[in-house]
Amino acid sequence: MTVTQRLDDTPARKHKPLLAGNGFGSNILALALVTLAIFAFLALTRQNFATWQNLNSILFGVSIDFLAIVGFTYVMVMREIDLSVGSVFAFTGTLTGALLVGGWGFWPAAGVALLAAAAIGFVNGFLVVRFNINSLMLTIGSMLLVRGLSNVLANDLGGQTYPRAFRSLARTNLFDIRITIVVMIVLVLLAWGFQRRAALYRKMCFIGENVKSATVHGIQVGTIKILAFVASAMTAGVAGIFTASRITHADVRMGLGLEFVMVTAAIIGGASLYGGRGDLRGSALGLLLLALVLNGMIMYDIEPVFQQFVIGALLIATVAFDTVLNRRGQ
Amino acid sequence: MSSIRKTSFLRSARLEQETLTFTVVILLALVLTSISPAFLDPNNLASLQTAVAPNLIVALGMMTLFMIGRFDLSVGAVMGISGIASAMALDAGMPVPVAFATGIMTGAAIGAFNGLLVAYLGINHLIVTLGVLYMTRGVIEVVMSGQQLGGFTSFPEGFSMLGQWGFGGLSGIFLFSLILCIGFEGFMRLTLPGRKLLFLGGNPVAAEAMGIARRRTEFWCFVLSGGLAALAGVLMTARVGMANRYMGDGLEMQIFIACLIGGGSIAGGKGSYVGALAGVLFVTLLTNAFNLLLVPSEWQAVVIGAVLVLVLVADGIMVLRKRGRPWRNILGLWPSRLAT
Repeated sequence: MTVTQRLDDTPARKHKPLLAGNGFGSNILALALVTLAIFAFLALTRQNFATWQNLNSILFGVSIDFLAIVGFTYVMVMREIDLSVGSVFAFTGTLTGALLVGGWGFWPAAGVALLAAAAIGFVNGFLVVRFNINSLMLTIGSMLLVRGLSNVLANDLGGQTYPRAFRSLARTNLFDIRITIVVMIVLVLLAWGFQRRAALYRKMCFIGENVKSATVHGIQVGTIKILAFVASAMTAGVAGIFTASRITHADVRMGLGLEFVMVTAAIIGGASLYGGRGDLRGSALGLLLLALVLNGMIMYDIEPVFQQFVIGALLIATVAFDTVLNRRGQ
Repeated sequence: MSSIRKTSFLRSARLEQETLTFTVVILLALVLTSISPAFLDPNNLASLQTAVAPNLIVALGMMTLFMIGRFDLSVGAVMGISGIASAMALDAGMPVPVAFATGIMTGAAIGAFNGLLVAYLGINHLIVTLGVLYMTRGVIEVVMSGQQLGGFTSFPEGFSMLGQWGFGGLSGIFLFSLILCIGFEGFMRLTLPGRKLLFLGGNPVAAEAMGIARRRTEFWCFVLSGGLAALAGVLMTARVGMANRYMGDGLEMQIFIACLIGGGSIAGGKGSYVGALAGVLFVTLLTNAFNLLLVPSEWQAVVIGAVLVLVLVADGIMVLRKRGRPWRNILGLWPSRLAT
């Protein structure tokens, strides 16, 4: 069949706009309503739930995880994934703590740790772009590697508590609420603008939709992808520093399984494993939803060990919905 | 002018990478013999056999999935839960064959669940098997939460014999896994269904056009992988005489790396069971080397991760070469912008 024939055969079809809210979870309002419903349910049935202290701690936890999901979401927009976030998160936090215990000042220590995170992100992105490696696989490798390094550091520290100045970082307040919560709100507003206005975001969606076409149209696919991986590692690093400060000592379990929470949250929030979409506002809501569910399980005295099962099941369920609703090219 | 070069045996039998891995394994063994006197100690050799046997059995299933371009990360957890399932069946007073079957069925059922989601719903196999890994580990924690850390430890004589028989100084399950490996290799090389597996992985579209049932094959390969992992789990439970929550922890990555090193490719269409044996030997010797040289366990994770990254990069380069990209285009300073 020649090309002309094929052109004649196909009736002129108008493509649906790329981001017209036709995917699973891409409707922020619906997601917000579900979250609100769960919130209302828990608030009405459990009296311990709607206390200021509990809500504050949920929001605080979400806001720290949110910092890590910023870059992660935009990596997913481009049909890549970065499973090393949990390890980078732990590594950066532990490295900052280790340097501080070793007598460094806070800013140099955090700077060096963030640079290390950026280097890891760069290597991930570079290898993915240059050798065309499946990022799922590659980042599992770097996940193991960085986790090992982080555990080496944590074992060297042997459970020492970090210096007082560092411990108080996470408890810094701005306008009477935790600084990370303020940062989260500001970032969500910024992301709103970024996703509506920025050419870069459009390019990223284009890369995720069709990388060949994007290349042909002169978008610098490699550069943007590498930058996104670097951003993902660095935002994970910032979150790791705050978490290290929050848990006050080196812990080998820090950030364990975080990457799967993030995949689940991002997909609930409108991203897709098949690329081309992703919304930071949705990701934030997804994280909040997961946090509420886990908190609700604790409120209902469900065994904590069962959480692992629930996270696994939620991961499969959301990805199943994502696949069934967004199936393309099959 | 130019004569037609005869294809070497290794090339025509697709055993090039396997040979390379075997050579590395032999070199590694020689190095270990020379630098560590404990390596050739009978105790160490016996523990090596015990380590290779379950890994090889699991790797056979994984390699089958590799051939069709899939993989299964839940094998470690499946191994753990099937050991526990058979131990619980024994604990409830069931006879040994029933307990054995319970363990295998548990694994096969989890494999069937994986296969259903991947083959018939078309969900990404990495996500499915990772999710199942988490769920299975969660179930193990819940089941074992009333138990002590050691888990189930007392088994009837007949069950322990499953894992502890030996023949001429070699461990029984080691021999069994070798025979299984040879059987699978024969199946892959000599029978039509075996060839179909490689065809399916090499070019799924063409294979489906030829009438190979892709979904059904994928499904049964996942069941096979789950079943073999369960077999390894039950045999190891019988061998070590206990079923606890730590069995098979982190095993999936070792098996995964073993299969990649042994000639498999995540793109599918490549690989052999002999290669799985070579890869498992390599990974086991590497772990053994760490233990003999007293390297802390955190560094083992670092090295395993680094090896995985290296193998993936090598795999990526090979794939690009296969598509006809010249070397300077792959490794040069400014590669062509038209990637993919």
